[in-house]
Amino acid sequence: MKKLVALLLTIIMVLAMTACGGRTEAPTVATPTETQAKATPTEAAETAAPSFELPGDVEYVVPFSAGGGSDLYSRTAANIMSELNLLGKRAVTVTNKPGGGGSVGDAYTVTKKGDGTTITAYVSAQITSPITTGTGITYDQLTPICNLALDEYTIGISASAEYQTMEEFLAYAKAHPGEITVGGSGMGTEDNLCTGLIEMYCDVDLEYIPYDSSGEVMTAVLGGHLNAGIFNPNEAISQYQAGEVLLIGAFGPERISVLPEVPTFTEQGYKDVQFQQFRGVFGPPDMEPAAVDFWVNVYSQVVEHPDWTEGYLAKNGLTANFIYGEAYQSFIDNEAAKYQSVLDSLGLSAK
Amino acid sequence: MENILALFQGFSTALTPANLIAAMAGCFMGIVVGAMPGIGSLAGCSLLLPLTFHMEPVTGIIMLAGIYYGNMFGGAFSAILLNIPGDAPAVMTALDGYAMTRKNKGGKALFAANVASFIGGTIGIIILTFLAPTLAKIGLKFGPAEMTTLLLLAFCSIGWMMGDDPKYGLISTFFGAMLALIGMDPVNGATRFTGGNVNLFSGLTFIPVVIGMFGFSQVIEMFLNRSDFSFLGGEKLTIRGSLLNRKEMQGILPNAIRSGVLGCFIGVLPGAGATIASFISYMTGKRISKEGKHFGEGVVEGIACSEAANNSAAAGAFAPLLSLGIPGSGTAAVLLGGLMMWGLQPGPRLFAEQGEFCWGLIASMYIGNVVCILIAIAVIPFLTKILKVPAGIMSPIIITLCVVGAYAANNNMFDVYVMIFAGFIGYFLNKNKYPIAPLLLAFVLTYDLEKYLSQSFRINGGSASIFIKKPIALFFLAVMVLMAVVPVIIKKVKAIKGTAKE
Amino acid sequence: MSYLLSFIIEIIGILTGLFYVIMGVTKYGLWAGITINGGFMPAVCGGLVSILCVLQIITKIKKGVKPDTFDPKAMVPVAAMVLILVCNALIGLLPACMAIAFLWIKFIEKYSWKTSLVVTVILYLATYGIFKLWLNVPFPTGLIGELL
Repeated sequence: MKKLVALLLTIIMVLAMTACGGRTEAPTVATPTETQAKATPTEAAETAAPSFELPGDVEYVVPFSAGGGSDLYSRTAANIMSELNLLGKRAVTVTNKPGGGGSVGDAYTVTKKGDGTTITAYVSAQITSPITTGTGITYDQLTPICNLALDEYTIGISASAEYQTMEEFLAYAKAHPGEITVGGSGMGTEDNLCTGLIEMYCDVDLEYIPYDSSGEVMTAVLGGHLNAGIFNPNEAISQYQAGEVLLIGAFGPERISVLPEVPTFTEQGYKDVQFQQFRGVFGPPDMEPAAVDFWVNVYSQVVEHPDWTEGYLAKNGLTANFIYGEAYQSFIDNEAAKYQSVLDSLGLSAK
Repeated sequence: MENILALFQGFSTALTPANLIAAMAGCFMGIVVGAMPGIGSLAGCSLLLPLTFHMEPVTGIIMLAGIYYGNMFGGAFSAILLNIPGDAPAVMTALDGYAMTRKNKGGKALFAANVASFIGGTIGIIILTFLAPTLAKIGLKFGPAEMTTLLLLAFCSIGWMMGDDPKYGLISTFFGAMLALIGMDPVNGATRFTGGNVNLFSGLTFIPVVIGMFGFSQVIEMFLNRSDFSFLGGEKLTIRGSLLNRKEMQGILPNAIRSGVLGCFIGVLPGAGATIASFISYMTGKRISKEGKHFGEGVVEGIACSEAANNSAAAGAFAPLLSLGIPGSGTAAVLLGGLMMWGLQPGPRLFAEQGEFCWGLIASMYIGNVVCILIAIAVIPFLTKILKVPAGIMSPIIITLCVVGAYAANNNMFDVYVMIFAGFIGYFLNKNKYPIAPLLLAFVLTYDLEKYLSQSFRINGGSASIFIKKPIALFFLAVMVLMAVVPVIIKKVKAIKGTAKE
Repeated sequence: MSYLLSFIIEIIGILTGLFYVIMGVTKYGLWAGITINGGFMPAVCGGLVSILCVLQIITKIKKGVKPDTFDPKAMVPVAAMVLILVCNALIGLLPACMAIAFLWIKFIEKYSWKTSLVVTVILYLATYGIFKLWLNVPFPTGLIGELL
């Protein structure tokens, strides 16, 4: 009995220690970057920041489950906000509302009309999901705040395959129409769009096979069950470096920072095969312009922080892309039109 | 030999005071979170992940592994004491565990679960230590066709499991499958049977359904037939009375060892590894073990099969993570996220480049397993006190846990409605003698079955020949046919013998 | 009515099963080019449920059916749940659960005020501590929470 009490006490102490450790450490890390971030504020920040004050604690909605890609960048951003003390005395809580390819979370955000304290992670999938299902909240029902980064895509094949380059792969695919299988996560998702782009502009007939996660796609490619797979850089980099998987094309306009040897589709002569997933932030409908400016200002400091640039972007092979205001609006409109046309031609949009 | 040497070095890494304390804290938190209905190991690990960010990588991952492990131990507690399995692998534990609780043997059930978890976990880790790359290679052999046939095998054995009249089990199974078909279909991403409700787009969530069908339906039962619940608030369970006697240990050991080996190999497979592992081990135990025909009535052997298998599957899921850098389960994916936060690049070269780290992790799993069983046994006396609470006070407590647990699964009130509805259905199923476990298992497996079936056809250009071309798939099909045919033949042979005697 | 109740599960099974088959065949489709379509599994599962339920009814009738009764008391826990949902809209989820737990112990189980209060407070502290403080679950706060 006594031993148990002692054990419990030690555990509580450890907990307290780790908790305190986290707290005391935070400011020391924060100070240099805080000044740095404040030294380079954006225009929007200077004019608008003082006119809006948060009326309450912030709810950061992530419409995907904990541990996923959207969860990661949102939690990274939320941690930086509290470290740099960007929200004054208000706290920020990340809430996961997973389900329906983001539609459950969006359906929740849309109820928070005009609320300046609710923001949500917004990625390409939330635009494609209403297109493929025919229901749910479309992007124009919410208020765009800013974009943070672009996630890159690559196509990978097993190193033991009989084709080793893009040229050989496409030639092989032309010789075997409809037999070449390409795996990706989910139906009507970014991975599916990428495969669709190859089919449309490289003039081949591929068979897209949806999986639940990129881990499963990688397993299937390594096990020889699939001819190729679509991956984010961080999902394929270790297998690529170990020589188990060959990455034969990148979907971005330029080569990926963490995978500089992988040629893009553009340089291989297929300039229409171009896709990047945007990772941004939206607010509920009718968010006040002052609140939008406030959040743009907050994020302008978040994206300067080393935890973001080094810890998140560089490590996961993302490209920084901080845009807001008019530019973001037209960017989103363009993306949505592009997704619609590819999904239409793939026959995936709901009638 | 090299492995053993490396492992000993791993122990010296893991056994520093700081790491040991981290392992203990992790196990304890894991047990608490695991015992809470609604928060499974996946959510538990991702919620507790930030705690470890400011630690050394080795310390952090040791603590996470402890949380992961503790979860598996803790999941059995609410299944045994409250009949609320916290996650899918614990469903099979609830069958015999809660039946034992009703017989005033709750303490024994908890001990049995912990001992079996320990044995299963240890076997899993030993296999992982020596065969991680081999295990991962076996996992790679399982494509869509192999997975389809394995899942079909699991489906068939559900009907096989239900004694005299398999119709009850089968109807329940297909009810579960029908529930699982609500929402996004894995074939072409369209939604089905949702009535336009966004909350249903990705389907019903498992946790509210299981909490409702087991937990809430039992509150209704408790309210109507109070006399059946006299084991609550009854005489105190003594520790001595809860210890396992020699006969029970002899019942647990062979079942735990067999399930441990089986579980580890099934745990390597992607997706529902631990669930299929606990289920198939339970079914095998039911067939092979001496007490087989009493499975489901509250025997330690049944608990041993399911608990040993799911703990060992938890270890097995690390094999693809460590040797290929591919997570074998949702929780392993969160751990992978943790590894990358610390700048480690999991992948085929992790063992070569970060040997100290890998072996430290494996060593910490041995330690975590020992720590978990010590903590678990230490809390058993407190847990059995829960059974002293009379049914009248227990009901509102379970109601609260059901509501809070269902909500916490996705932070969505819709799940609470689902839980209430599922509870009501569960009450009617119970009343009409339909078993609920097959429904829940079919619910978990149907999505994967449909997905793999459609992938198999796609990959093979629309022909079913893939199931015969692949040897592993063919093997599973053969087992399935044997399972269907053998009992019929045995019956016939017995009938002929019977008439011959007359 | 009471005989209907004895077959309640089977009847629901046949009806939903047929619904799944019809939806599967007509709306979602059985086969799409080279693989199963969205209606394949619903049609198979729904069909099997319907057939099994019909067989089950035959077996039950052969064995002889007793009329079944439904105890209206079974609705009390369900009503408690509905009350929790109503209260949740007003005062938030955790307080709603506590209010119902308290009322249940006091008025349905007829324990003393003291017991009811003590149990409720302990329950509140435990759920609040673990779910809210430790695991940060964002519980709905209800109308009152919105106003504050």
